[in-house]
Amino acid sequence: MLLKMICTPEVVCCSPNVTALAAARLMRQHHVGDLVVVDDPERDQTPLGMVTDRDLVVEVLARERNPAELTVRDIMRTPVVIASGNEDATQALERMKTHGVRRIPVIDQDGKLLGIVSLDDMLVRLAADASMLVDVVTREQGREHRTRR
Amino acid sequence: MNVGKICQCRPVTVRAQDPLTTVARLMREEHVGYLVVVAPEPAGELLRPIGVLTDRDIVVTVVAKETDPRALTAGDIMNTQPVTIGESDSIGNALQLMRRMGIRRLPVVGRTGALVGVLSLDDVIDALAGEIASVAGAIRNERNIEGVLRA
Repeated sequence: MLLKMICTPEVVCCSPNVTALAAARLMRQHHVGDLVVVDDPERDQTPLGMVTDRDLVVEVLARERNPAELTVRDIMRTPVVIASGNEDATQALERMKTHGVRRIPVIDQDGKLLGIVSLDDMLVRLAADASMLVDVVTREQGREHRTRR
Repeated sequence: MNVGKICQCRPVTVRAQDPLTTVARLMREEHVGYLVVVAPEPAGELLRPIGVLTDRDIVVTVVAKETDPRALTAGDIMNTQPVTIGESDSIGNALQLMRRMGIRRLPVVGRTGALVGVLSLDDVIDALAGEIASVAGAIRNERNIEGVLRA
């Protein structure tokens, strides 16, 4: 399964120049815990980094800095681990494991943001296959009972 | 396998009166995003969970609304009356509870109601993955052992 089939296309982005406060507001407004930082949120969305709600707490609040005075560039995580839309999901998962990341922006062949995929997305896909295992096992038992009376 | 066997045993806790900057620092130092707010029982020995709070709670309540975090405490932000799970409860019960409440972490309490740990969905995934790997291992070994016994 290719990543572009399972990634979430709606990604909330921001520019590295917005304040940490503006980033917090975006997270609240869109009910997300992370933002993909891109060079131009309006058009050319090349991922530069990621900023999460945790970053706001540990980089800004824990250090008693003012979120209105810091920019996303000051606190974002970069470089960002990304994946291609044409990459196999299993391969991407291996890379997520290697880098210890829960979410990974997905880009198209021009390097522009296509969507985002998370460990939860991977889990849902795997669990769907696993729950079919249950059906296969129970039906096999049913067939055995029916065909060999 | 029950909740007590797979949960994280040394939960990071705070008191309701702890200032938010302390809470944030603790999250940074302990590398956690979820804290349990505890209150001592009148006898002073047990720590009872009275609330939970996450890094997200801090961000959406404080930062996005531009309230001065120095003026707030853990008690101001926490989710009160947290849903808890017993350490001898089954994983299935824990998952049903998480599903019903739409949450992925539960404070774990002992028989007396004292906080003994935190169970997160990540812990459940880890445990289940381990058991499925054991199933796969048993399948592989069946073939190998058959090969040895009936050489």
